[in-house]
Amino acid sequence: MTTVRAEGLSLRFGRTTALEDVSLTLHDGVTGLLGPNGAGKTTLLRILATAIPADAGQLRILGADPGNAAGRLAVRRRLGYLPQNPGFHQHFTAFEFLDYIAILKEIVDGRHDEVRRVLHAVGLDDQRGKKIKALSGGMRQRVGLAAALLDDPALMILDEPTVGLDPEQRLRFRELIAQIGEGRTVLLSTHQTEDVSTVCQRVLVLNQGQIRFEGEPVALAGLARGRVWTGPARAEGALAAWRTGNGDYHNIGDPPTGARLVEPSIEDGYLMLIDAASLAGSAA
Amino acid sequence: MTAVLAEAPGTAAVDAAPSRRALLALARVELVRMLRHPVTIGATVLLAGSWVSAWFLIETSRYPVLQDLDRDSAISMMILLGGAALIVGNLAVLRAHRDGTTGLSQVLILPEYTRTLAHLLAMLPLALVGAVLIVARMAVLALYAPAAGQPNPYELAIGPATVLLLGALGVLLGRLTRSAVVAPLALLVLLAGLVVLEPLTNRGTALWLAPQGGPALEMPTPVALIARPAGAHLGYLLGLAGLLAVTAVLRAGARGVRVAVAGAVALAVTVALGTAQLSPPSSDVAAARTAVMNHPSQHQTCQQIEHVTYCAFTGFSSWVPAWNTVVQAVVDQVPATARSAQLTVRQRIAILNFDRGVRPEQRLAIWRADDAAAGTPGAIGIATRWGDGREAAYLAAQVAYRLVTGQTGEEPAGQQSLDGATACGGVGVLVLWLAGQASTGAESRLRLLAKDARDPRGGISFDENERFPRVYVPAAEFGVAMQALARSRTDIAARVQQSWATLTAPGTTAAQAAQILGVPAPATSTAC
Repeated sequence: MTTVRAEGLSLRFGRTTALEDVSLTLHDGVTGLLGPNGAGKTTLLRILATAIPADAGQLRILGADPGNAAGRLAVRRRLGYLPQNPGFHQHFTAFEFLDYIAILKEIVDGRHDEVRRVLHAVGLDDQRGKKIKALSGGMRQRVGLAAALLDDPALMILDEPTVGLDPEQRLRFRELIAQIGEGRTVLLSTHQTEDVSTVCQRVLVLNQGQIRFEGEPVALAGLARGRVWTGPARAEGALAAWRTGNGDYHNIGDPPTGARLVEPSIEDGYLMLIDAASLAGSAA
Repeated sequence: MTAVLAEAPGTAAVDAAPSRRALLALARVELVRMLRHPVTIGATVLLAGSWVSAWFLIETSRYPVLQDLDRDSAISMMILLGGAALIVGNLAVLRAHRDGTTGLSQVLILPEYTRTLAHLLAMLPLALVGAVLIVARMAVLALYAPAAGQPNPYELAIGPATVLLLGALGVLLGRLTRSAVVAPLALLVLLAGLVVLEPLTNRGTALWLAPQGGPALEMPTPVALIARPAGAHLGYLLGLAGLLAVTAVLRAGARGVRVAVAGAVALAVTVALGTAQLSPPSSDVAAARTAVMNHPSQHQTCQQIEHVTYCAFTGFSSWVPAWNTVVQAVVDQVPATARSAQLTVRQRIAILNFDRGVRPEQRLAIWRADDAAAGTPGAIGIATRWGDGREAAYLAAQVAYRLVTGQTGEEPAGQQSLDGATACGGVGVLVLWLAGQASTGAESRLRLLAKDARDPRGGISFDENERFPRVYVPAAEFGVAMQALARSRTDIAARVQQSWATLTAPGTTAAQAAQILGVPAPATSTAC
């Protein structure tokens, strides 16, 4: 079922074009949003979360038009949003914080039960009485996710929720997101291609304010098929190359004759998609 | 682009009105957080602590005048609890900004103006806490202290109203600026206003426009004479709080008829009652004040204890036992033969603001005439303050002077010097010793009196009604009496009883009195 449909969204901040003619469709399940820093991911997510309006374009979210107050309210009633750097009321306990957010979401009946439910869903039952300032970074992110989960939203927008998490926390987070994505639409912005490969059914790639790819993760990986190879040396002219753990070099680019081609990953496809020149610039 | 096969159903009818229950739930959460905030707890403890400590540190607090204490309590409440409401209200509004949660909170359903309304509603229980504190203070004092008079319910409500007002100001400031420094600065400005407004307005009616209201009368008076426009001031403060509240919700995005009506009502109340409170007291009140000042005997109830009649204004009778303790302490040291005089102690008020155009000698003559008409000629005047030892010293000295000299206080008005009588030699020493031993701490009180209200003649003067000098004792006699007070009371009392006739004889000098009492003679003598 389609929950979000955007046509030709554009937004400018002064002379800077943040988004340009962005069209996309979101369905049930987890959709990853990949893109380099400054690509416009957060701006797009804020538009979808009704935090800011687009300058131009058509947008329907959960059947409502967020361009008017009633539509915006309708969207917000069914939206779960975890912003980038969400911020927390440090002197609140986890329970108090979620209770506070629940009130702001106008959850009145069974509010405390709902808070307990989301705390359980993110595995923080035993941390409910702890002040947020005493929680680890991973736990705080889970509190943020729990806040987004309040009132069982139909659409969840998560802006880089795995940033700053250690590997174990990241794994647990992916597990959570995978569970959450069952039966609802989740848009997950991330820098981690592993996040996409493990939990996302679809992926969007945004670069320089434009959608460069929309499809399944496998298809994104497929963009690099036949152009990823390993060898004993760094290839001249490769879009990207790095030495792997076994001493061989992982090269992306045109393979030399007789090169040992390997199955591309999403990361390879993503790198292929992003401007090679900018990659070379950042590598230097 | 992916084809759209089916779209999630939209919400056909969105209830745009914010949930009243969510509003109340948020107000409850905010209230709990405000009450638990260290600033609120600290202010409440300081407020209650200042009231409790006043009982131990300020002697007049043990003889409170409730119709004045209600106003004083309101001012301390405004400074502490109101100040706390200003700061915690402001911090509550700025919480999302300070903690960086605006990214999330801006897309949550409850509108900003409803959140602002919740912050404002949370101030109501905070004001209720203030009301409970102030009522508890009054009840405790009324029940357990010899309290005079009765509090004015409007004055009692002014303290909590200032809590509301400053709380609303804190919320509004949070809506106007995102800096958490502004609210404490506003509080500092308010405190500075408390200090500078009275002199700036020359204690005039314009002071009523400030939250603390107009100045108190210079002395406590019976309730009926106060005539402070407390009710109008209370309404003015509530109207002002309403205006600030409406401005805050407007700033937060509220619009509509109800907001406009609330704003109009608040403005009307503020202007109407703000103007009404500036009106001077009615001519009836002015006439009543003059009547009570000129003819206190017609507005008092009297009671006799042994040879002394005590007359007090309505509400002040609870102080009679304390007056009697002082008077009897003097009488007890006087030989039985000198106790025959019938004494009357009469409460009087002499307030300069009420007494314009009346010269001091006229005032004294008016009182003597009233005493004569009441059948209590030469009554000893006592003011409407009690407890700090000053009034006790004044009363004891006047009683002592009457008993030592045998004078009745019925001298013709023309013979009454504005400087009062001078007690020289043995008489002066005896008057001072009798006054000094009449109450605990009187010796140090006499020293303070001599230091504080230094008479240009060098000695010590005892006033009637804190305004009219009645008995003056020169410095040499003061020195002898102070030394006698430092000695054993029993020993000196025995010497006084034994040598009463000598000590009270007109020709006895201070040096001779010192010799009789067994203390060093003064270095200089006074020519009387």
